[in-house]
Amino acid sequence: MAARATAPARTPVSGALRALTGSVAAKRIAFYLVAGWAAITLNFLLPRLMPGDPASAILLKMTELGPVSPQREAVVHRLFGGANSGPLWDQYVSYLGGLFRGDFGLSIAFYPTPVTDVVISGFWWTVILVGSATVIAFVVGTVLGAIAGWRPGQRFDSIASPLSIFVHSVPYFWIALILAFVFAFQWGWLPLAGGAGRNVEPGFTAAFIGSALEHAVLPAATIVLTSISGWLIHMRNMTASVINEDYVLLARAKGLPNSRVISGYAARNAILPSISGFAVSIGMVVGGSLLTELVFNYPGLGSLLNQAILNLDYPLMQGLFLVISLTVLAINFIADSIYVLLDPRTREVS
Amino acid sequence: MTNQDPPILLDVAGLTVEYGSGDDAVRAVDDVSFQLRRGEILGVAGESGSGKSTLMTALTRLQRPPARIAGGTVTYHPGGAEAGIDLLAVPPARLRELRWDSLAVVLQSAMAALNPVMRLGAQFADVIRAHRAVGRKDAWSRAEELLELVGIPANRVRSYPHELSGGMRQRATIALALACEPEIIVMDEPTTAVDVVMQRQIVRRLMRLRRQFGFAIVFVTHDLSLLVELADRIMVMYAGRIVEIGSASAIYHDPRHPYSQGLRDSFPPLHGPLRELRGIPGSPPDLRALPSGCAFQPRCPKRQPECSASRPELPLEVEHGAACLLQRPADQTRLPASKAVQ
Amino acid sequence: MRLPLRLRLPRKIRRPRNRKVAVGLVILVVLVVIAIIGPALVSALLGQTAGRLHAGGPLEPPSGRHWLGTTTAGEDVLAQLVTGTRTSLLVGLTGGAISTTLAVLLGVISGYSTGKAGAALTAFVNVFLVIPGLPLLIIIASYTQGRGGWIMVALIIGLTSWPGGARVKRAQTLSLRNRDFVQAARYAGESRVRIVLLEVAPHLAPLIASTFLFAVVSSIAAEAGLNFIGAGNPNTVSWGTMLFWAQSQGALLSGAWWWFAPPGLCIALIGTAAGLINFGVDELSDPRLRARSPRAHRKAGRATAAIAEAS
Repeated sequence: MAARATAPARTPVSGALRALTGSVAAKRIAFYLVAGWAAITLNFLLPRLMPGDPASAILLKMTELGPVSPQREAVVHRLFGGANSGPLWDQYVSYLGGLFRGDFGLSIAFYPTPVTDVVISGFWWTVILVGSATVIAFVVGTVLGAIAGWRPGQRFDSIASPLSIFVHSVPYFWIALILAFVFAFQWGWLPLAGGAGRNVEPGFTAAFIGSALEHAVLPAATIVLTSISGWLIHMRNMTASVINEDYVLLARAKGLPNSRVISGYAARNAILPSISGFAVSIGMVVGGSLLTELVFNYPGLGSLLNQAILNLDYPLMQGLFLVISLTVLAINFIADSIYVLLDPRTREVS
Repeated sequence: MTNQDPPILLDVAGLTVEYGSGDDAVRAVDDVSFQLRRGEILGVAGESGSGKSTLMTALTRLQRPPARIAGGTVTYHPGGAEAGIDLLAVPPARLRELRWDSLAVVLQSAMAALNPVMRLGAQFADVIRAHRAVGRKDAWSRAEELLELVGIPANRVRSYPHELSGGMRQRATIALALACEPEIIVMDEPTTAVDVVMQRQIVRRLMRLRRQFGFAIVFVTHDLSLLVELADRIMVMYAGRIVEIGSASAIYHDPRHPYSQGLRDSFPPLHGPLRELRGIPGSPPDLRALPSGCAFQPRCPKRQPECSASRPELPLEVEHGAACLLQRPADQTRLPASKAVQ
Repeated sequence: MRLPLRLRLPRKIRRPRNRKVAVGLVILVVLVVIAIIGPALVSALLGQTAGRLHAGGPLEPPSGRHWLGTTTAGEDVLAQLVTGTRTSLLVGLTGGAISTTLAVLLGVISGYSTGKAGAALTAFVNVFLVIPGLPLLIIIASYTQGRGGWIMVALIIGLTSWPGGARVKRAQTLSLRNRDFVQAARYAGESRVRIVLLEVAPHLAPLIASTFLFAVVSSIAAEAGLNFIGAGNPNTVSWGTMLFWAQSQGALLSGAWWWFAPPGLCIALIGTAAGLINFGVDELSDPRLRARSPRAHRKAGRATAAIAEAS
């Protein structure tokens, strides 16, 4: 981008720049591929490193639930190792092969539904809930943080900042409990549990979407309320230090309207660390959201994870961990790419 | 000065800037008065902490909290007209109109002064469009003209600040100051961050631009010998007050305040025979606990007992005067009565 | 000739009189005191202990006998809360110590070493930074199935929660590495270990302190989350297991707010304390973040800092 529309005099430079930009992108993609591979391999190694023998525990459970065919037994050994499952390398190769076919074995908690189907059933509930709540929280938190940081110590800042520190320290699921208690149990304004009404047929109908939205209000409010404060504190501190930069002073000296000074100069620069720190924050938001789902019995990945843990459903746990990790990696990749667009300095290799 | 003195553009009277308030307030700028005439270059010299930078930001109310203006007026006479506007009293919207349009600023570090995430052209375009009714395209081509004016190729308009060399960035901020052809440009150590060769180039270009556009400059620096080359008049600041004011050659050849003498002798002259270089012993005073009497007396080589008894004032309405007890009234060069400013 | 040269001693460093820091410290101290003497005090004054079933009727609301009411099994909530404070703080301190140690080691080594080893270690830290911590924590904990009690929980938390701290330490080490005094030590031929220990580490101390504080708090929160989702050991008494039992025994549907409200509030309090301390310390070290109301500027010291910046 930096090299676009330059005069002939700069052509060799712009060519080189473009090549460098390309290599920056290539580097990031390679990093995320490595991170993805690490998550997959961790998933493979964990059950094999842990004390005990998850494979035989799973097989025992499966036999309780019904007859186990030799193929199914092989799948369990492929995913979890165990006494007679061959050399580690061969296990790894067949584990990877299984992943590429989307085969994670059968869930114990929802026996005999394949793990893949169970995960897919919760995936979109979580993605839509957490995704929209995170976008709302990021936008609102960042805007409020910029306002608080623009005039540190003024009334808004002196209320918003300590309050944010408090809210930021509250566990998500506790906020969820309180909201559920007040709005669903005491006042009965909103449904207490579930993703949509039981008697509403799932589908692309007004009734279903309306019911789903109604059920999403409290879980979403929990995520927004708790995660908003993190963005707010971050943005407040960055803005408070950016307004002391000379370029903000110069922007004011230029006689630009305040709104322009904030949007184009102060906030525009203060937001960069929020985006580069997205990786750490989004991990916390996702973790908190999983627990929030549990409180509201929301049919997403968090409730499934709870089911998997209570039933010692290791195949489902494995599948969930992998899907959650890879999704978070994908979100981080997007955040990283946005950062490169927002900060021209990153487009150069030092 | 001759009888055809250019009209006064900026009349600063009793300007006082404090950090904090109440009993603990610290005066960074204390009762500063001076005038700037059309097309004139007024040099402001002083060590770091002398209040010169605070003074510059206060001229258009750019001081950052906890600094606040505690008193005084800054009267701007557009085009040297009789009627003036007190910049410290105008409503914010009017002040925004006047900023950059009439009074532009060049800061010390161009790297810090340019927005790192905006293209150069966009940083020109937003100020041009804030003050002139022009379209985006015209604003960008105006930016190209301005860059060429300071010797930067027009195609650099699409560059980001970090893609320019240090000298180029500094020249770009000067070009930026010219965007609305202001009558006054305040320059806060514009050449401190660049090397000596670049400094010469920038100063030479600046003089040429001034001849071309006729703006007045308030040039702030700690480098007195540079000011002697550049400025018409020089104002020396110490501990927030003006200790000496006079024409550049008078300050150079006949500095009357011991501090000005020390400042002069601590830099090698750019031209002429070498002098023995001497520093000023001690360090700038702590503004929270100023010494009694003259603020400079603890460091002054010519200190008298009475120096710590009372604070000498800068004589009013003099062409060349110093705030020092050693200066008897008869020594101050008075302005002829006809030229005294009210 | 007498030189009017005055030797200026640095002004005595003022004791940080920051209200945020003070409030945070008070909260922390109170919680630590509760953790130490709370269980004994509650048993002596009210005759209640955490493990005693049917100390009262099921789900009694707060009363003079049970200040915070009872659970479905008739356990005294206050006794559980003070015992839980002890467990949660122990998990927090242990997990925080492990996590901070790992963060410092990995951060400093990856920041200081150059070449392939440094790059590999950096990649390792970065990869763990983007893999979400809580799901990983939950998976590992569920494989242990509650064996090992709170120590195991603390260990797993410590082993999975270091990446954020390591990143900060790495960045700081990278910048210290190129400072003049470290360069000078290197040219003087000092050994790497010596430079890291004597030149780099002291400059990281404040950062390490703040990392530890937050590691403790996030370990406590992680313990709560872990237990809440059922991957901990439900037989220990901690803030997390209290919330787990409250949730699974339907405290919400019985309206037993006294059961689930206090432990969450405690977690929030300790987090707030850490946040306030950190915020205040940041303000003390960076005057730019400080409040700017005229009221807040009674302190002349602040004004001088601002002057140094403006001129």
